Amino acid sequence: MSLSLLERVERFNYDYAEALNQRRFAEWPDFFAADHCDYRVLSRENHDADLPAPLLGCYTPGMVKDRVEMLIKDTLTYRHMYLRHYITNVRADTAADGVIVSRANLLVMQSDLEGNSSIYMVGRYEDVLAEIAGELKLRKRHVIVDSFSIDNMLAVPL
Amino acid sequence: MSNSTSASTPTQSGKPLEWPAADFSRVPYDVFTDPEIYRLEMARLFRGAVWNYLGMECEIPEWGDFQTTWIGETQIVVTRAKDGSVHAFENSCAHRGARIVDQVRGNAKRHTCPYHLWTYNLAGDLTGVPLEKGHNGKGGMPPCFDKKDHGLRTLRVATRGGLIFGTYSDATEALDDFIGPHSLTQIERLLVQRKPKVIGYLRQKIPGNWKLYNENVRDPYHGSLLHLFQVSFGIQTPAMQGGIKLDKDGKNTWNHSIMNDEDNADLGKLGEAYADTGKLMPDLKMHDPSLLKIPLDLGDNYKTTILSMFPTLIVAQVDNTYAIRHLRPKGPDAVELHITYLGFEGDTPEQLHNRLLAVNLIGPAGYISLEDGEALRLVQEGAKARLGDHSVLEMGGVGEIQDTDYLSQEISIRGFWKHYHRVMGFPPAGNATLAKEPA
Repeated sequence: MSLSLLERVERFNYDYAEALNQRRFAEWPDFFAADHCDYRVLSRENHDADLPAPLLGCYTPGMVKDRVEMLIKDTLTYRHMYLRHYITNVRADTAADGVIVSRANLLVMQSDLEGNSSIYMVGRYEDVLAEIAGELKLRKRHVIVDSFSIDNMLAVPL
Repeated sequence: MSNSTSASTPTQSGKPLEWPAADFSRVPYDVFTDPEIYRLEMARLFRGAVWNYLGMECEIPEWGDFQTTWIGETQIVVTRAKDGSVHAFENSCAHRGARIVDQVRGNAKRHTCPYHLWTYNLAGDLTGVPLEKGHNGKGGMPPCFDKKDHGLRTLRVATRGGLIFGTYSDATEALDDFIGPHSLTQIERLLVQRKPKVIGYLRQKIPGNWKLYNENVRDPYHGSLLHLFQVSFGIQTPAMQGGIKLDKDGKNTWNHSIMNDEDNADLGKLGEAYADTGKLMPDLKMHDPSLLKIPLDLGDNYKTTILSMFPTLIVAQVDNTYAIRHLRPKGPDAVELHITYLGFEGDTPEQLHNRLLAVNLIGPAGYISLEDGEALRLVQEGAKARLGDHSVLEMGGVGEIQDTDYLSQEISIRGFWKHYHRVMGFPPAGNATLAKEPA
């Protein structure tokens, strides 16, 4: 059965979220195009005011790898929480130059090690994907967060 | 400062608050958790003889520009009037108390309460009351009502180096004296020799008492222990030169570290300093090290400069990042950190790009700073069960509170507590029951 573009993008997002939620951080860079990519988490406050600084920004595939390398090698001291993404309202369209432009809503719930759950993050993805060797890869993922008063820290990417 | 304090300060535990050491090398855990102490801080400290940070002049450059901020739990509106002067008033209508301005920032030539449309000018004076004279000769305010008596609650405002401060007290000393000479010099270096502009805001909710953050920024001892990223990549290491300088009260600290290539030539030699923690990672490498190769644009080899100013302001240079950090206490067990991230007028596109890269070091997602929120959470969690007990501040020496030319010290934290204790009007420290503590 051949999947529609929308179904393919949804599946891509679910696989992406599962890699993060299952703490398979080494897989995360593989969701990005290996030649060039742009991943940023942006505060909606800044985004709407045209202030350019992100909360975090990876402007090359190497920087994407470094973000999770610090988690894999346990360089950072941060609170370990169970995270779960809910990705909805997905739209995907093929642009004139052949890339796929996609948007989605994002909700991330967090649960602590004693089982207490709360909302961690509300926001949206603004993505550009390319089909490379038959697979979808992110050229750009900007995560624009409404919950820009960050609940203590943003160690695991969104 | 009033002398109305009773001999003991009530606490949740029912026991008086005790400061067993005159050099403030012991801090009662109750100050981080007790609702009554928090309430007293709001009244005595934030409304006392202190200059509270309110924002930067570059955030409200034009006539009518305003922004809201917080002094403790009180929301403040900061405005730029037509004559260029800066004003600050509480965001609560003189009539029935409603919040007047319900935006974070914007521009308005007057401020009108949404409820009954009482209108104020940019200095906070009441200028208009609908139906003041009634309607068809009936109703209206009584003849004795005078708008002059019903302005907003205003603060005395002063500025230095583009930073705006406000105070509730007529007794607060001149702003420059409050800031002190070392911080004044560094404000000049960081914020005046180039004209700053805001390139982003970062906000972080930390589940810890606001004073724990004040301890954290006055604590270079943790800098090379908690933050292994900056050790591994030579931003701050235990071998680095640096030190602290205090103002006359001990309340404001300038701490700094200085880059010296020799210090970082062989991080492996630092192993001994890390005891047997196994945490040092001298061989850590980055796939894309461009973050670490951004040149320091002031060219003076300071790798970190942290100005920690009483009670809620930090001006920080960490590597090539420049930011204002401001604390908004939210109850005894939470604080919001508001970070104003700065670029400078005349930055080249490459410099701007470097700032958007260097931000990865700081803020709630910063390779260095995200760990501070976690440290505060852990202290807050641990301290809850320690009422009546005290933390220990002896690194770098006890006794006199003085400047150092070394970084592994907690003396500047003791300076904070000395001033806090004085402003809060607590009974004298050091005459209590240290001897009774279990050995």
